[in-house]
Amino acid sequence: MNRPPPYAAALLAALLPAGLRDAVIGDLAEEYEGRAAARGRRRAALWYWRQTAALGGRLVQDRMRRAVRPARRTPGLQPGPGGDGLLRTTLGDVRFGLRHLRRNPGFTATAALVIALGIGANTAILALAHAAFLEPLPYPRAARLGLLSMEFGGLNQGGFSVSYLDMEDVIEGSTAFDEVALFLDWQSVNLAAGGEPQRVPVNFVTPNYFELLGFRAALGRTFQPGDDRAGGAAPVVVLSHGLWQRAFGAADAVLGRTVLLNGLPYTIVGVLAPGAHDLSNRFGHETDVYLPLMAAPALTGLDITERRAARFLYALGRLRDGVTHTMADGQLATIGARLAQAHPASNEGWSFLLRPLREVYFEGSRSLVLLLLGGSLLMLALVCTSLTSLTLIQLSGRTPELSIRLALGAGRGRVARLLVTEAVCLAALGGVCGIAVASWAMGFAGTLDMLTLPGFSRLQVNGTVLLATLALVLAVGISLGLPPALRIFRGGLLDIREAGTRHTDARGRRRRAALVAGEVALACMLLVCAGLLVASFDRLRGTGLGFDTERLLTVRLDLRNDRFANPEVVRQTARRLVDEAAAIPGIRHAFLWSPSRLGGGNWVFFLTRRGEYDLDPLNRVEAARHHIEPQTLGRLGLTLKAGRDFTRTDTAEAPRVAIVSESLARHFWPGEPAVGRTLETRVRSERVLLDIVGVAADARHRSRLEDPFGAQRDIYIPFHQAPERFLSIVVRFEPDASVESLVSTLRRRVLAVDPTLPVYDVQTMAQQMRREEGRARLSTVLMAGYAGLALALAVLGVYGVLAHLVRQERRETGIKLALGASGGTILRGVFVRGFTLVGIGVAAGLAGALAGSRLLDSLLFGVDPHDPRVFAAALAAIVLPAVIACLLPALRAARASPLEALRP
Amino acid sequence: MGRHSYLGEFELLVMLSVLHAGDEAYGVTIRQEIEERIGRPVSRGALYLTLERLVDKGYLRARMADATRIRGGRPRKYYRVQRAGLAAIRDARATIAQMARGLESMLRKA
Repeated sequence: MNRPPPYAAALLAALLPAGLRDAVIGDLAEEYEGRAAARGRRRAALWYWRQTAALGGRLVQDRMRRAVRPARRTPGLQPGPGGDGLLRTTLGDVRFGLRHLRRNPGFTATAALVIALGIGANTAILALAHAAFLEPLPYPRAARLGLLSMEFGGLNQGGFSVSYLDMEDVIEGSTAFDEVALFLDWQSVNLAAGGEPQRVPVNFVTPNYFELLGFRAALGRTFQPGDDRAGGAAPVVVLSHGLWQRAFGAADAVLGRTVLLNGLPYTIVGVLAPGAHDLSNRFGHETDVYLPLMAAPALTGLDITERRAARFLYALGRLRDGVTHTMADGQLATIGARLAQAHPASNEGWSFLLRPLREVYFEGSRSLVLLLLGGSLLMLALVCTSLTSLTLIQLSGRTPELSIRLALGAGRGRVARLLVTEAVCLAALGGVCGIAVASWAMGFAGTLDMLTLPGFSRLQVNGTVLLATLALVLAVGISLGLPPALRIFRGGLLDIREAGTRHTDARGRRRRAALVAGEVALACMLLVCAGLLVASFDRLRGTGLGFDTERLLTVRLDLRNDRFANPEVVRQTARRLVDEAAAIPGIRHAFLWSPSRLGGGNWVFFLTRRGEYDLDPLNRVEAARHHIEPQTLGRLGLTLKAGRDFTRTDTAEAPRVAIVSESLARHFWPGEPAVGRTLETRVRSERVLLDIVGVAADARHRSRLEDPFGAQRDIYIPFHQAPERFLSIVVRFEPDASVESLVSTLRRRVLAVDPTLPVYDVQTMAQQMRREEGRARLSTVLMAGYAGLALALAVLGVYGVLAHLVRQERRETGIKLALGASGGTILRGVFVRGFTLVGIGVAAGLAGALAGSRLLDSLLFGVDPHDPRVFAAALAAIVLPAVIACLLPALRAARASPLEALRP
Repeated sequence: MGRHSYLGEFELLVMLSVLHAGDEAYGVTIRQEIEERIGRPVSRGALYLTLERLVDKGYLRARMADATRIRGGRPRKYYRVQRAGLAAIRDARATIAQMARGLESMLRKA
């Protein structure tokens, strides 16, 4: 079932009288459902918002009519008698203000739209800021919790993990903590529990971990000290509430059951209560399975307790009462120094890093949120300044109306208040639309990679955010209404009429002109940036990976399991799995290619020419390794530029061979053939020599965004000479095959080979490429939004200043016309002055863009940050509307009749 | 004009469509009746406020029923024409007929 937009519905509920609330909201929900089914949710939501706006307007009007009705008999704007005079006159002002706004639909719509964009952006970012700065962490005494990691020579602010042996010394030597828990939460394992096996994120923890985070067991127990013995943990497991519901149907009888994790048996001793958000949230996933820390070596192959340099763990500490973070930092520094002295081989240059938990979660988004907040507030300030010049023009247009009011006896203060109320109405109108903009923008922000928020924090417009938005709306309203109101208040009518002809106003005019030129410059810069991103996005989409990515599906399998301890078994199993996959109808080819793009470039060799490995570490070159089979390259569509493909004779017993990418070959042997040469590397500290038998064309195996122009250093080795236990199977399917049914068949075939092996990370190459494009699309859309807003502001600003000027100078214009000046001369005069302003702004903006667009370089793909075509397009985008903005007031000045202009 | 206060044009349209919709007369159907018969969009705000006014005047009676899941658990508000409402419709028709008397040739379709 589809739900109507909740904010719109809440707004309606607030506006509707009790007698109609249920009936109207229900009716709309009914129609919304029909529309959503027929035309899609997005259009239905748009429709709902329109209805809300129309209905809301009508209801507010109706309510005000009722409230004001008794006051109608008092003429003009006199405050009515009685205690509720103030309220009544305010309502009267509001009614009048709305009417005035409706009479100027062009101005109202433009202003409301610009305010809506400004307020909307701010509301969305305020919601983000609330999540990042104010929302409490869901842990007891969270302010005293800190995450311990290590840094090397002050590098890597995110922190490396810590080693078990180092932490033993910390726990012994430090008095700062009353509890320290160790955990390893960045792995996942295969879970088989009777049904279909699945891949689950796992956290290896010491027993006190649960107590520190306040996690309770809903069923059974958490770990006891006896579960976590060095040299062999008890085979027990605690499930997350989510996994218990998903995989075990929330059955009570789950306690005592045995499940297989990577093929090893573990007994379920507990299920956590709901709402336990694990620290793995900082990586963006919830843990499903908790195991004793000492189970990690058996399950992951990581030797956590043996070496000081085995830094695989994190530590969670709770500061003792009365101990500050600074005091703890001091202690840790001392311990770190002592360890470096005692164990220079493993600890030289390493120091401890203690970060408060909140910082751990939000440090990535914090500076970005502040930046966005600053940017959007600045934008809102610009919105206000641009609109103020428009309201001032409106004011001079209203001289007759306001004179009558003042003549009939309305006080200056009274009229000033009317003007402020009007402006607040306008701001409120924009604000309501702004909240709609915000709810859309937040859906968008949710997909932002850079803003990964932990699972417990919700991006929403709550009371606090709404209150802040309300304050912003008021501020906008007052800043728009106050300048005209002050004019009236200070000088009365005379000032309105004479405004601009006096000397003091010249300075204000110059200041406004400078502001407008600045706005034009800003718009120009943002347009260039948006243009570059659009060009880059276009380029990215048109760029292939260097091999045939059509109908290519990749899946992963994890064979870390005692049954696959023997490499020969891994080879045979891999062969069987590939054969099974190839036999599925609808699959053209199936082949091994580990890790494929799923590896994210994390599988590497450090390589040198033979005999140079130990000469200088800086000579070693990092290259991504690919474990493939004979024919894999051909089936991928990767051409061999020299030498031969792997063959069945490249077995484990034969000399180790490799195929290198052109870029890698060029790096080691520029201008010379690489085939026949030998590379050297280390595998688990052992020297390995690789004879190069072929050179393959370069391909983009990692993000197209990150290495746009080169450094495609890849090395291919035969799987059978290096049987990794993490497998990727790649299949090319037929054009008419359904991917879902292929995948479910594939899962079944894999289970037939081994019933404990889940197939995971199932992705087509097209999906992976689209995800890569998603970020680029996002930054493009955001930048285009900013640029559009800036352009609108700049054009409004130019128009505002010029229209103001024309109105102020209409007397001079009249005299000139009366003395025989042609309309053309007048037009040219106004236009040139306006366009000078634009010209200055554009020149400054282009210069700024030329200097600053280098900053965008990291976001650009295959586009020169000084691309003249983009600059030309940006120029056209700002000059065309600016010409119109200059032309309109100029035409008005030229068309004026001398008499009209000379009238007082 | 009779004992009743005069029904405005839109009020008359609303009263007639409540009659047309019969037992199924609630916001959605009433609006559909008008839109389908006269082929002109009806503002929801005006419709609901008019319905409430007609209830206040005693021409319609309202009853809440049928809260469904699609409606988010909110009941429909069904309207029914009252005796006074029927009389007001008759009056309004009679008033128009009286005013139109003698103008038949002019008002007849060409």
